[in-house]
Amino acid sequence: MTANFPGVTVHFTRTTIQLGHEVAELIDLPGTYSLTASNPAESATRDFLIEQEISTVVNVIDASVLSRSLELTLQLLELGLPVVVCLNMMDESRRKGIHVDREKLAEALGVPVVETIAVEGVGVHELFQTVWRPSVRPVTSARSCRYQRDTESAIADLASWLQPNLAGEQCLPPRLLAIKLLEADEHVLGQANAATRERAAAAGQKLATERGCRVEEVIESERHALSMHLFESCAQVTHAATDLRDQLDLILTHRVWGYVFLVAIMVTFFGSVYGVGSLLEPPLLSVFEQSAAALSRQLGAGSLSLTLVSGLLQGVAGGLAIVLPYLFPFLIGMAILEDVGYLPRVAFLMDSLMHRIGLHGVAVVPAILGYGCSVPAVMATRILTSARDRFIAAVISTLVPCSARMTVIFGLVAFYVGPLWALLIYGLNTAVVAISGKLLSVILPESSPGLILEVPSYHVPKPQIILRKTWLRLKEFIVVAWPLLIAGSLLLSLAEHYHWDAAVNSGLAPFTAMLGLPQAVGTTLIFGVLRKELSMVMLMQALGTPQILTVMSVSQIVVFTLFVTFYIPCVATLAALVKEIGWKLTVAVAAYSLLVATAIGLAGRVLL
Amino acid sequence: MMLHQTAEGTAIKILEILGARHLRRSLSQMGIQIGDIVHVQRRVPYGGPVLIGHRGTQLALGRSLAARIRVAPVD
Repeated sequence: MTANFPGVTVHFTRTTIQLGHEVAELIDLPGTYSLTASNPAESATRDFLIEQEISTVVNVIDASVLSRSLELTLQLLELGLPVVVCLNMMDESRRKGIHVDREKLAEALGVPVVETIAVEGVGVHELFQTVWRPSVRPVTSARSCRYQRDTESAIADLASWLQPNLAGEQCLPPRLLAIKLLEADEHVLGQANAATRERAAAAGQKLATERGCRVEEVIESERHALSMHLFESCAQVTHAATDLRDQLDLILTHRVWGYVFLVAIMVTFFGSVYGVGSLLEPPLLSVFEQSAAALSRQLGAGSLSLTLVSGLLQGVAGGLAIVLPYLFPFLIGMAILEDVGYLPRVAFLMDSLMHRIGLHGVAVVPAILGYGCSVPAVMATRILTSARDRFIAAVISTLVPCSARMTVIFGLVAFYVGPLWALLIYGLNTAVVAISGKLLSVILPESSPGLILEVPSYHVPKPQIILRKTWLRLKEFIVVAWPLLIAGSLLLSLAEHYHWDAAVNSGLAPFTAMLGLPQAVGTTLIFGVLRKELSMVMLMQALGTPQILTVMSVSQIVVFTLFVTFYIPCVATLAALVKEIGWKLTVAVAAYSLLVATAIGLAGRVLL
Repeated sequence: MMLHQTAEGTAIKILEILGARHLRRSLSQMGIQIGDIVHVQRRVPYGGPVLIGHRGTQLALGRSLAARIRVAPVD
């Protein structure tokens, strides 16, 4: 899945494709600016390129930022693998006034270059055909891709020493290894032995002295000069067509209006989700209520078969009538915001605020994703460079209410108590997140390197892509969460039938009593750790009626929702956290969230 | 002057990047090096970031980084 948002691909997507009679595996790697990685996502890409068996590397370039993109291309050419350059976003580059001469570029680089507008499918077939051609050979750098003589001699000198001494120590070709050593790539240096490092230092010393600066600066400026040279000789820059998008940015990044529109857009988003959801929830709920009543008459109250069927029905109803009405508009809204490219502007506007809570603007990415689902949000923390930043961002993105918790807030509070209350809960949550972030950044002091974020052009989202993206995420709910919901409902039904739940509830009684909640709520809170929607769906089941207001007071509903919003992340999130920050820190996060939830629940009970 | 002190809408040349080479490397990976001429597109006050443009790339730089980049205006 892609989006107009740096940091979206943080894991590999593998697809099998067929061209003619042959079948191949296509692997989409996280984007990287260089083979010298600065965050875990880029490291993953680098490792894959170096260690895995690859038949062809397809370098997808944003043609509208060609000069910068070529810096990676130049490094990829050194891998010694067949490379095909895909000049993508040709429409965008033409709009910016950048006209690339494809043939000249292909000749200069020494590899095939294919033009595409991937999002419209233009050139994609030709790309795959080019990749498949047996004439695509491993690259031996074309003569135009050489640096200046003094740099080349230093590289050649080191490379020729490395050649016999490699002995499988590194998987890099000698020339690339030499370049990376001279460039002071930390990963490569870390893997090299003392003799190699010494030799690299010696080779670099001469170059550094001659140029009067550090050797890695020489390499970087050489590569930069070469990219610029290639760009200037292969592309013509004419006047950019200023269109609505540039004027849009003038407003949306404006020091005053930018924030006004940010609030407006968020409120619109929030309002639409609520509007659609609350329209659909009542009629769907009543359908299920009637079916439940009819079933009861048919199968006889108290019978096991009724228990099983009604459990099933509750689970289905929960997904259809309560979750989907809110989830669907939410996912569409998120997809639109992502694809339009607005989210980096949000990071830009929120940067100084994020600094006050100890992070910088890029941490907005996981935080925003967290409003959708905590699992990809936690994974997105890989785009941050320091472990400390990743930890704080992981905590923040799990504290933020995910779409599952969103359905609880909307389906429960907004619906039964009022939309203003739902808004207040979101506001409170934002405050808690800010305070937690600040707390953590004070406890873990370390200067954040600061925001460096590429802000892409605005892009008119294509409806088919929005729908497909929404469907993919919806499918995840339908395939993973809904069955869990149904299973959970069934389990609760059985537990009620055999009165196991009474045991659990009485066990948790002191806790629920402290929060002023009815005892029956106990089991639903346990199930809520499995999947957040369960806590709401099964609440109705546990209380015995979807007419919650008859059994719980308004303040109890709010306290319950507050607790559910903040307490322990769901199992899937816990698993993702363990993977990113480790066991101990995950337990700490869970404990912290439980503490916060209890404190807020108590405060709610007292104040409301 | 430093980047965070520049005015919106001006073209500036990057003269020096102070401090640890981490920033220099990140900028260089984004295609911006010493000697490049960039366009200051936006500046958010109260410690906010700077938005610069360079050959089609738009880059948001946090204030602490912008304060470490020495620049000079270009006509």
